[in-house]
Amino acid sequence: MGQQLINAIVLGSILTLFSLGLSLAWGSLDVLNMSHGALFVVGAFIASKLVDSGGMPFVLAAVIAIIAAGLLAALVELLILRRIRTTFPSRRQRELSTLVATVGVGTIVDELIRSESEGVPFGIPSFAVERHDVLGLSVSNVQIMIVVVTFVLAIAIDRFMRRSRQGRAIRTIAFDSGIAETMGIRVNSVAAGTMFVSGALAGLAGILVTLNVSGIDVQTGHQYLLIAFAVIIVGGVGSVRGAIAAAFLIALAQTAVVAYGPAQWQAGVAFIFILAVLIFRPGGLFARVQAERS
Amino acid sequence: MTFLNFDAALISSIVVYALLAFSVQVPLRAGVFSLGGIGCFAVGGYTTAILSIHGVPTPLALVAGVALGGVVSFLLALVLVRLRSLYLAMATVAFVIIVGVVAANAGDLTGGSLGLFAVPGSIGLGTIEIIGIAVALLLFALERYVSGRSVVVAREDEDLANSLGIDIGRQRRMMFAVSGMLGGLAGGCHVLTVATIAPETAGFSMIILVLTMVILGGFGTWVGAAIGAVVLTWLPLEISSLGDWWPVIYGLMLTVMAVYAPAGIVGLLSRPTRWLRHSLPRPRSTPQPNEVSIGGDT
Repeated sequence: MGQQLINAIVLGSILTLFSLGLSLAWGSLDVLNMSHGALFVVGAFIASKLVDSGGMPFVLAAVIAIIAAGLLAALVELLILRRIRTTFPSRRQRELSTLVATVGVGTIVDELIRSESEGVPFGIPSFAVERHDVLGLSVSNVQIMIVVVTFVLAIAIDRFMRRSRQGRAIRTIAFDSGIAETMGIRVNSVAAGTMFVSGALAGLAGILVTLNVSGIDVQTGHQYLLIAFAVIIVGGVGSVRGAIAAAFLIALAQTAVVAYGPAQWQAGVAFIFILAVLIFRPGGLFARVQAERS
Repeated sequence: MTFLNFDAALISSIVVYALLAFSVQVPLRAGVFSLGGIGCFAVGGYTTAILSIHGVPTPLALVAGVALGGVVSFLLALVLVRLRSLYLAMATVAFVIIVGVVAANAGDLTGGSLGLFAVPGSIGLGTIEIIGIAVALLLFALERYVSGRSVVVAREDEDLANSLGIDIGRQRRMMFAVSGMLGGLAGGCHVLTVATIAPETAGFSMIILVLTMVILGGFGTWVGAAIGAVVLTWLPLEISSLGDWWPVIYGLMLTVMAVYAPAGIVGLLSRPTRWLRHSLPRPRSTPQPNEVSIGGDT
């Protein structure tokens, strides 16, 4: 029971990291980044390559991989999303084009990684996993790292979004990018920065998952993307606290299903959550009163 | 009927993919971002396959697949009634994936992760051609006459549609039902031509393939989806040397089309400015800064 609770907390932390990045891009830039799962895999893959064949120390490799995932996301913003934002005045067309283009980017990245890794799951081998006894439960150093990193980052991002000048700028863009621009906010720079952070969070989540489960492949990114959809619908877009609460709620449910229920249905948990929230509380669990989501 | 080395198998698979592409194009044209048709493809396919294995006559099995696809999609519409745009896209992608999960875990009924093999029923090339042509004519009529245009109004301006007395909720449910039936029909035809179906029919790679077809051809009209289906079914066979690189090409196509030619091949073929004029909203009283600062990082 206690062991399962630990699993749930670890999964919840990972989901938080992954969904925060997705929610950040969507909440502020209206970008549903379908390549977020691919960025997650990119982080893990680069770290794995650097440690495995480059012989680099883990921390250095991880930092490079996280930055690379962030830069890739920023590159997508510079080359594609910026164009879409400025060419299509109709919001619906912008959203459709963004959706389609990021599905495209995700596919390209996925396939490149699939061919590089020859379809075999990859891990980060040289990292030494140690297990500790905490109150009679077995906890690995990776699990502790995941929870601590998430805790620190979640608080930092929450503070940043609520208190800092830049955070206020991002929230202004989310409210209305037109108003933001007239207020003197450099929408394009803020967008590139936001995408960088979003991609870096995905890359970090990828590395941490790889350490925890010892091997991932392209498919893993898709699975996390699906659950992150549920996190965002349950928690509400752009709300850091909502995303965190939803991530832990879904992690708890998913761990319970794996531990005590029909384990093969765990992918179904995300969808059940989406349905349940839509039927009983359409605004999301933590949203202000709002009948429709558009 | 053979031209350009189109053999029977290729023609049937073009028709199947065209039907599947229609199931995504129809709601997309109405401004409804639903990929649920791909889930209904599996629903219809499995229904037809299971019934056919249990000795139900082929036409009846196919009709049951179409009907169940429509019903599932309609129920989905009732549940997702409050979702718009990207939320809807996410929820329908989740629906597609979950259909795959159910198919992979429903035991002997669906054959688990291996799927179903050697489905006894089959369908002739003539029948499948007739189905394809009939559906295309139906969609042509649907786009051309009243309901088709009210769909465009609803897509472009919901308030205007409301004031014209268009029942948007009803229209969306209709779109889902039609999409589900098209998906179910595609699934049924697929099973009856290749005699197998596996859980991967509802998954990410299928979503990517169908989305590429619709976007490449153009989502504004059924012709676009049909062109996309023909091109992307035929080209990978013709240029098979590219092999595993096709997904990368789909990805490139999606990205480039989304940015530079959102109306697809159809949009490029018809007068190039026409689509733009139609898709741009009427001039607003206050210019949006996004439009003013094109290309500017100021």
